[in-house]
Amino acid sequence: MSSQLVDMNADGHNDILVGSFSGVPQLILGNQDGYGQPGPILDAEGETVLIKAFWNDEENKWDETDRAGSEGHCTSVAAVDWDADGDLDLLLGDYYGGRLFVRLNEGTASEARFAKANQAVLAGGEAVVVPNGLAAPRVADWDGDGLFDILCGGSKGGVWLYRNQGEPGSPKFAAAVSLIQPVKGEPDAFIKQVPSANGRPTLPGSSFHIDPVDYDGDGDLDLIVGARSQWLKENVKVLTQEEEERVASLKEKQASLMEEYQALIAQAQSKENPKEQLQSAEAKELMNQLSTVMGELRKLTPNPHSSGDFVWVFRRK
Amino acid sequence: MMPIRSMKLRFLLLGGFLCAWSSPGFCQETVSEIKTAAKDNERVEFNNKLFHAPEMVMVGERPLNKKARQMYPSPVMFDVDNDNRVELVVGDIFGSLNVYENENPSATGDPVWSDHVGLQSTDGKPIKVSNW
Repeated sequence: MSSQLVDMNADGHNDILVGSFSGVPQLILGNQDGYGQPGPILDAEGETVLIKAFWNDEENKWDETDRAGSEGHCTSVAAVDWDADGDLDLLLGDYYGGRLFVRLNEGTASEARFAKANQAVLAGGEAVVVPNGLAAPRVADWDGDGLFDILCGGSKGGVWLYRNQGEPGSPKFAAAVSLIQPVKGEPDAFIKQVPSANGRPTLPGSSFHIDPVDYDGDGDLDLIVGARSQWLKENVKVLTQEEEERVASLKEKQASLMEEYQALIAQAQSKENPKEQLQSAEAKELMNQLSTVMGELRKLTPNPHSSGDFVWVFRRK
Repeated sequence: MMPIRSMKLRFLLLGGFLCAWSSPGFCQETVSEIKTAAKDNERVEFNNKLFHAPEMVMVGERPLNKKARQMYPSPVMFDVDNDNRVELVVGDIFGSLNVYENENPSATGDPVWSDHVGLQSTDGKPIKVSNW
């Protein structure tokens, strides 16, 4: 996720820096023939670079550590020479919490030694928190003033610009400016619902992975955006009065059967052999009835939504 | 030791099911909600001072990601194969990196994207980023 082509070790070959849902950014080293396999980015003490949450490969579980002194789950990364000392530092993005951190490189351009801890990125004097989560930060000179700015795509949609008003080596960011507003709708929706035309969505919905690039070669920066969308299928069935009544009756029946089944489960748990009771004729009959009711409900009220992942381009005016 | 792939699938299936089940519009859809949703399906104007309305990026006549079906796609444009032309490289939550070549022979105008190929390392193996 959020890959970036960048020469991380100053050997003259571009490498690929990639965010990962594991919580640890990865680096794919380039050479004269192509690329190697990815490996985790390590700090000066040989520990993986992260924010806090990470997938613990040894214990096969989600885990947390306080060693970076920060809160969040790193899924995205961008390299930039933050302090203009000639080597590349890392911006780390927290997907759910929307926080953004910098991990300084205290080594050299050819031999990175990343600090042990993260520093929160400030904008308008406060720690950056992208509303409703951060899918990916990108670095670009958006306003053409010679300083790098930060653009962030939101995990619930939208794009924010943090304009750099500092000086080379001492970045200072203004408060966020919204470049693209998230689509309206349920803020907690897993995938935002968007309008559609001809059976396809007309807007990206959630999880904006952005890249500022001159897509059409007209000299200004456009945005390409990878995102998820949910939209309504065309010709959504509208029920007759009779069907509506049938649906209401089926839902009542479903609720009642579910209650009975839950009671059966509770009863089984108190027994010595719960499996036996859950496989009893009574349980099977309940499941059959539930299955019949749900099958009819599905036929009468099919899911009216489609969802998918797309790549979009927002052209500058 | 539990296989990671299996864990992923379980997580996604369970997470996807729970989210779908608990979000309005899926299993719990009511008749009136369907009617309301159908009304909301009308196209809304995209109103933005900086950008034109977004366009879906295509490969030929089909949406770019229709074939690859990457989840949470993260597209970037750079010259990944040193041929002095910019490619579109798309990562996703499962750690795949797909490359779309620009087949527009001109240096100006919109790129024309090819079908994707998975990025490979020098030993010919697919590059797969560790995720979880």
